[in-house]
Amino acid sequence: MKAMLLNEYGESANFEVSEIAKPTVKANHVLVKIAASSVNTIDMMIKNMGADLPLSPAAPALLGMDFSGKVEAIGEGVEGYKVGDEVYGCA
Amino acid sequence: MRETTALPLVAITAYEGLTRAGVKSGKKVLIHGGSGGVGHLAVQLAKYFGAEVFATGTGDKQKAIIEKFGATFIDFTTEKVADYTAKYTDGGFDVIFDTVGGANLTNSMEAIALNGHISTTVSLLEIDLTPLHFKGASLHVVFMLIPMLHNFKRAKHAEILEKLAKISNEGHLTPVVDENQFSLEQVGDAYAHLASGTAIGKVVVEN
Repeated sequence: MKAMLLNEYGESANFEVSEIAKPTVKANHVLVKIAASSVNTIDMMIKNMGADLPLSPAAPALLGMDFSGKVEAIGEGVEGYKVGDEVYGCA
Repeated sequence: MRETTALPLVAITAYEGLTRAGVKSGKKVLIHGGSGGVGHLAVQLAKYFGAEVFATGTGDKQKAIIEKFGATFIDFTTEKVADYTAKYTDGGFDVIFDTVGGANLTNSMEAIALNGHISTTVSLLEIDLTPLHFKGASLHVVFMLIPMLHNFKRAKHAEILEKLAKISNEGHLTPVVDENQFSLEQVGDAYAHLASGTAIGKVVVEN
């Protein structure tokens, strides 16, 4: 699937079009096809500061927390959601 | 989907700040930064909980957002803390949500009522808490990322999101979303737009 990855951190760093493996659904998880995401100040801080911020993932990094989308697959043990549900969250 | 994705992080923050401070019907609530990302949602939620809501900001754009959501606007650049506190309360605000935080906490400690509750999202500093002591007031720090960082009480955030979806669907919670549209390939432009400080509302990327 398509993803915009940061290969390095920094204010002038660029997101690059990349192809990554589509996640498979795990037990107690749902797989969501993302329709939209929003940019929070903390996302911008992660991009600019990288490892200087203790919560930044290692590069190449897929950023973003807030999302909305549709449930595409349901993991084992999940209750209360079905395929096609419109959901939102922060992950 | 544009409006929905604008909510989770900031709306959960607004909800946690207000509920931990004990917002309820009849309380006088002051939101610092009332037109900001967390602030404009906190204004709406405090109204939803039945509070009498006041919010600080400056300039016509911020004033318009604050008043649109039903709060009394306070221009912090022209009105002194002691003056607006005396004007709107009898001894201080019951609850203050300080989304500006940092050095602004001194203003919150000045405006808080005896035994009042201050919530903030920014407390990375050394500051004199003496006013808090003599008022017997409480300070609540909201750090929304804790469940994700520590795998701690994540289900609580799901419960809050369910409540927020209901409140929003009933028309009591609407995020301000920046009018610029960005595709996934333009995510870098979206970050730059947020960094520019010119965005009006949440910056959204659509896949």
